[in-house]
Amino acid sequence: MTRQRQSVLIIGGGIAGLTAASHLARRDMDVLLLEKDAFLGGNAINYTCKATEQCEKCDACTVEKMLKDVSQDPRITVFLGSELESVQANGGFEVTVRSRPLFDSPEEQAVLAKAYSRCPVPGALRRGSSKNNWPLYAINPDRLEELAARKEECFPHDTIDLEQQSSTHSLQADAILVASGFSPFDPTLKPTYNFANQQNLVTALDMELTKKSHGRYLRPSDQTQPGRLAFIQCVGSRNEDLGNLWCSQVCCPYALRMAESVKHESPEAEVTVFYMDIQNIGKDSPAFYSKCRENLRFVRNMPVDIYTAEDGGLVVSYLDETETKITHEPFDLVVLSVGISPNRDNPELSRILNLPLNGDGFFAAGHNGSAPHGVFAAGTATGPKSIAGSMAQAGQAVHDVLKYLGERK
Amino acid sequence: MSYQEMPTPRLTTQEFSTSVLVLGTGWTGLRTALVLADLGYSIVLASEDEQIPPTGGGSHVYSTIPAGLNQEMQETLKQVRDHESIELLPGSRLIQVLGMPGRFTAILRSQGASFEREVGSIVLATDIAVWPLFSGYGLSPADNVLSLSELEQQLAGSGHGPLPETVAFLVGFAQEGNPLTMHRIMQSVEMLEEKGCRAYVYVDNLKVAADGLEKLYKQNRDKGAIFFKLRQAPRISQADLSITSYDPVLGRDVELHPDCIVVEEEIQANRINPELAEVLRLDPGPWGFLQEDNVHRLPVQSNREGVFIAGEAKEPQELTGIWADAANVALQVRDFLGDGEVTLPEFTGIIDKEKCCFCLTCYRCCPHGAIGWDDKPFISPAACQACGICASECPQKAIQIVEYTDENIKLHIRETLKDVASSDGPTLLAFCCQNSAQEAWSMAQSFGRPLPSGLRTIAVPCGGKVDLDAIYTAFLHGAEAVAVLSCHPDNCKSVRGNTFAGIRVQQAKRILDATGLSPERLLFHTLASNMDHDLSETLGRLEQTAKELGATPLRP
Repeated sequence: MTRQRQSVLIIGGGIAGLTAASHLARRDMDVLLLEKDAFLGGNAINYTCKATEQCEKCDACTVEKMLKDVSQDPRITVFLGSELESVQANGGFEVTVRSRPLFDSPEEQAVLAKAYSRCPVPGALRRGSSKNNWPLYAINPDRLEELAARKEECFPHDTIDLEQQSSTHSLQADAILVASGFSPFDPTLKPTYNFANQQNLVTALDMELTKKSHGRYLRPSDQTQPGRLAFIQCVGSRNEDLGNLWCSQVCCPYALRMAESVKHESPEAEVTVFYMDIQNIGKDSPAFYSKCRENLRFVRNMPVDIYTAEDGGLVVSYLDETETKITHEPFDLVVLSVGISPNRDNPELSRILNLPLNGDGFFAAGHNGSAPHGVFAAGTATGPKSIAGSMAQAGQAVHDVLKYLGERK
Repeated sequence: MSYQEMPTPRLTTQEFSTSVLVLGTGWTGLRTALVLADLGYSIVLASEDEQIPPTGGGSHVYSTIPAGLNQEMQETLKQVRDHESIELLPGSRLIQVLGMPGRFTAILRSQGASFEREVGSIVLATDIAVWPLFSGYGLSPADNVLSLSELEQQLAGSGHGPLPETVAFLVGFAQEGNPLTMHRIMQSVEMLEEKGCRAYVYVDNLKVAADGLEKLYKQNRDKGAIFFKLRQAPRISQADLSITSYDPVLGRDVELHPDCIVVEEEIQANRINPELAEVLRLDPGPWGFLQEDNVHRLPVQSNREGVFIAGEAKEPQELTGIWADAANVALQVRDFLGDGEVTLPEFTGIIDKEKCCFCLTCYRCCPHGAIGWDDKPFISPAACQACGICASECPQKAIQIVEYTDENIKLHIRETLKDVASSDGPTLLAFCCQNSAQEAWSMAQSFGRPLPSGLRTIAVPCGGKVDLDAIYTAFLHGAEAVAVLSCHPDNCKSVRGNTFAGIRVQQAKRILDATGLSPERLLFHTLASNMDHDLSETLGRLEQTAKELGATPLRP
């Protein structure tokens, strides 16, 4: 076939974007994969395996697999640390992309690797969550100035040019797929939890990152395995006051799997789950839920208040459903099951792409007919979704893209 | 033929059938058939049901659907009926499948007569059924005790008599339930409230994990519906039609006398699913649904190449999920059948006909249904996923897999252990499944996790390829400890490769014990590709054990 290869721009390198990239490359398309962060994999690449004695179907390993496939595929060009600047429809799309410096030469990577574990500027140097991330080390652009100011301290005996400028690329795409994902709900928006000032109050994502780097779930204040844990569900979801009238759909599945994983790690740990309604957690939900009810304690109430006790532990206050009085209960660690919020970049992306958002701030997917020709959306950019759901929707979007581009079997 | 001289398979072009058999004429089947037909495939759309879409099944579960989709559904139905590439076979049952993926012969039966269709791929798209849970609430069907479906019919105007003024719904106490059922109830509540009736919903866990349900829940309450969220079922009396529940805020029982009680329904997998799983040699999933609960099958794959499972055949799901599955099946069928000219290796493994005694162990243990036979068994390159389980299970050692022949593995082990004498710490050999342990090992290296200094690894296509010979060879050539690292139970791409690996390690441990070598030197462990810490710790413990036990007498 002599037809010139068509190209598709995918915005976002999380599980939906990776899945779509992999499918499109297999159909012999040129794929331009744009990722704002320094690493591919999105939120889900930070998730750890929740297996107990058997696989608990958290699907985290599929993200690794997909990332590996994409990073090895020559038909996929990845733009890391890159953002969409402008899009011009011209039959296809003329796209301008701005990329910040990646410090990705072998020499620069060696310098960053050396400095990573002893960098005096907290959070300035980052490492990918997967071995399939390349480059594996990156500089947090928000800390770049601070890093530059303390350059001698951070990189003694090494040279690295921190003053590299960002670059722009002009790209041509025949279709665009928005897979820009979600932002985890910001728990500081629930003021009574005083999230910012309590060390042992963490989000589930914090738990994942701890396990990723230490191999264990540890509490921040003393790096010990917590004996008494609480999970609080629906933080930022199903909340009329916040205007978040949606169930995030993934928090019961991830929190209960994480709770079971904690129990597997330390069987003597006591785990309490504060909840409104437990949602289904997978294909064999009833069996999993009954296992949970055997070894976790469920309290059907949303805590009103969390404060730090003198011993550094946390106290959770909640209204006891049957006795209509406030109970104050101590825990070593409290995990907030933060929900899926629209990506903070959605309004800007919506403007550049002329792609409408729905009332909740997600991109409207399918069956709306209001998207510009050639622009598609998939994954959590369109609303709460699991890893499996994001993969399925990405496949569907690819099917739609192929149809749009006039491809047949 | 000597296997050391096993030739490298050439790539060959094969003709595959571009017909696809779609089983099921509910919305999954209709949608999938249409999407595939539009791509140019010839579709055989068959179902046991006589009606299309079946009226007795669960299709009315989707009576409550967004307007845009409703139109698409009607168009789908019309286009399927009119499509020249879709052969509709209502009242037909699949009774046997011969041949291999790419060229299946499906034998169907209709009205006592059998007939055949040649197809390249098969899609399972059986629909669901609903079953009212009256007995779960100690109730019997009556004029004022209805199933959810009966109420829906009444609301749609096809039932008898006027609508009841007050309706109480019971949901989530007789089963775990799901958002699909909750959606139907909320939609009914919405219609009742709009018609001036009053709705009460008794519910345990309110299943709202689907798009738009939390908003609908709020709308329901704004319109006046009252939800009693309880942790155990209320007391129900059919005699005086009353429901009593404890109100913790009021601190007393609250009794309701509705005009009508509506009982939730269970969504059940199609009754024919187990039969289909047997005919197609599938490892089915929980609750009678057809897709194995295994991450390697996401989104529509099965344990067999060319056989796909979509929508309601997979699990109860909303129409948007069904539509997505249909599109994903289309992608998979395109990858598998393409335009009918498919490039494949001429073989993935070879069965030595001289050695083969036709015991069919290979046929029984192959998780991918890749073994067929004529005068002797053969491996279909279109179906084989090269896990190597058959080769390791064959009692005659008649099967060799490309790249992993017995001789090659032994050679590789010897090569890997050749400098054992010069290493300082104990020598550990880890057989690593390429889907999990090999990845975890590579990750442990990237992130600088501690690994035993004497560790050597050998990647295998599946834990199920590690046989007793390989384990003994490792010890004979100086390994002081051997690990067989495989995927977690329920996470094996080849379904049971990890089980085979575990059984063989148990056998090898008994033999080691009998020969005076401590069985603790041999470890079986399961893990995932992202468990670098676990791999590091597990092998660290094995190294410690090997140190404590000292060198084996076999160390050169």
